Amino acid sequence: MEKEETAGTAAAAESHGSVAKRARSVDCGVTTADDFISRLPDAILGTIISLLPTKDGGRTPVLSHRWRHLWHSTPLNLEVSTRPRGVPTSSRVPPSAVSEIISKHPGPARRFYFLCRGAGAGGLHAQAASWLHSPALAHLEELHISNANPPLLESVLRSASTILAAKIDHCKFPFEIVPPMNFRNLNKLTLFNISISEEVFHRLLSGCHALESLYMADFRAPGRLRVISPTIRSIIFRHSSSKKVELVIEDAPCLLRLLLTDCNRDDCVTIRVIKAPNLEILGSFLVVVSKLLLFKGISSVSSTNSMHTVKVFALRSSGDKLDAVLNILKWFPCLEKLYVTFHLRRDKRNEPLYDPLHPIECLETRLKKVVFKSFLGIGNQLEFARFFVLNAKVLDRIEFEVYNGYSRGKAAYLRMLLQVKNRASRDARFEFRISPTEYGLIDMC
Amino acid sequence: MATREAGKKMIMLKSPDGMEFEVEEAVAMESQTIRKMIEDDCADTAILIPNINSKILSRVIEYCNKHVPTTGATGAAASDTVAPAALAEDLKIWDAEFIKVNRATRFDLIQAASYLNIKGLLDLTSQTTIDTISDNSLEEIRSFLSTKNDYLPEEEQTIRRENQWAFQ
Repeated sequence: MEKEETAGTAAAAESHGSVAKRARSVDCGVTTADDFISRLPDAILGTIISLLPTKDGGRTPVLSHRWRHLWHSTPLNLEVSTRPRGVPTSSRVPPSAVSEIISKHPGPARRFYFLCRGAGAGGLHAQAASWLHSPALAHLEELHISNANPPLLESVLRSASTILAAKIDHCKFPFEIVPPMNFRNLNKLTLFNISISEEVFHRLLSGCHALESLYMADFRAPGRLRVISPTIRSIIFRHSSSKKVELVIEDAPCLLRLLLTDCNRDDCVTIRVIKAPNLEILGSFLVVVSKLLLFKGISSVSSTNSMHTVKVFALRSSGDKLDAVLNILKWFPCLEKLYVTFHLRRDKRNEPLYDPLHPIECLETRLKKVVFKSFLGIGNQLEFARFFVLNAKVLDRIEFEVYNGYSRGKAAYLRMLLQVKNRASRDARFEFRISPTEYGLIDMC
Repeated sequence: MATREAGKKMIMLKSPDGMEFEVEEAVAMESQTIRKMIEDDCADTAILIPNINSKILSRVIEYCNKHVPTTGATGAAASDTVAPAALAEDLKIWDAEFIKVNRATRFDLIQAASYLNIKGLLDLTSQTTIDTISDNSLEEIRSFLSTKNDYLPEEEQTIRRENQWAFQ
């Protein structure tokens, strides 16, 4: 809309403009004489407005009388962006427009987004704090801050104590945070490409009193990250660089899921679980050798230092690594579900062989479900899967995610190769399905 | 964990044009409105859904069937999947197909989602409206929403001036 409109465009020009030309991009549904929008309650229109980019929301009062006051009575979505001169305007507003907007909107606010690339020190942090203390941004629910320098970031975080969700990316945290931050309601925290010290990370988390979900991706200078949280339930950790990092779950009584994603080297990410009595879902680990950097307390997880809480485990492996995987399964005696994503790398077999005289506990009594992803149905992958068919005694279900080109005939052939007839668990059901993503290969989290 | 088969309880939903739909209770309870009726014991044998014709109601049920947490076909309950991203991707593709309907149907679906209080469906259907508003000129938006500009030219000018910042 902004492409055609400049400040002060005459209303007449707008309403008599070439409607036909503009209508090209409008949805070409069945046209009826009904005023669709008049059938919707104000509450829905309000929801729509609060989800609109800031400028688009600010334009809606001009649509018609019906829309006249809706913007003012709808929680504000304020998206602010610094940008160099000459860059075309966007749906976000520059910092210079903020004071006018917040003087017109009575609050509360749904979301505050601030992209402060190139903002420099320039006193913006004092300004940002004053915005956040205005009635327009009262009861802010969602904060997204990007490219902030340390004083600006600290100032914004200190002024946003009501938030429920926060996303912080491409930011540098200050070296010190004193006094601690305080987020009473923050439930979901996303940290992406940030630099933060071990101490400040710890202080940030200890200021979050209701945190349930934490997403951490690609910290710049990671080192060691300690998680102590009485409320946290889910952690997703992504680390694609080759810098070493240690994630320590020091005390997380409610932690249920710890998911690793894009941790593409097996020697960079160390996971140390000290106290997580409810950790049930863990993975996915890249299995190259049967020595994951996974610790319970001070020692590596092993068959004698096993993790009894884990019920769901995910791993990525080539089909060559059956013995390594079987050795790892001994660490999780209560495992009920196993997800295996195959990749195509050829590995040498250099593992101690599986010894049938010392059976794996979870295969004997617990493991109910196995899912094989990116399953090609050939060679070593077939052998890998067949092992579970023939040895997992209490399985309910085995699922295979295959590539396109799957057919009933092929499934029957695979069943034969897998020796389904001789399965260890008579009740096990088999399902073959096409990978849900169009690329076929699924990246396991 | 109780199996889906064992816990299955069916409910009858009736549209004002006389069609009846038998759905699993769990599916129907994707609607907070219906959930409340069931929990308050207001639902005996059949629930009449006023204002939503059979064509729209069947689409709504289709949506709820797909989004109910324990999906039978993929067997992946939201709580135990280790691949939430893949599952979410799958649903997104399905949603994108689902919402390829004409404008009138889309607004009917917004209304139905609002009345039945199905947050996911309301978000999905509203998003289309949001995309239209954030991409187009005022005249295009009015045309899409079939909203008449009922301002006098001077009035519109005044309101534009009041919200000058949004037009810069």
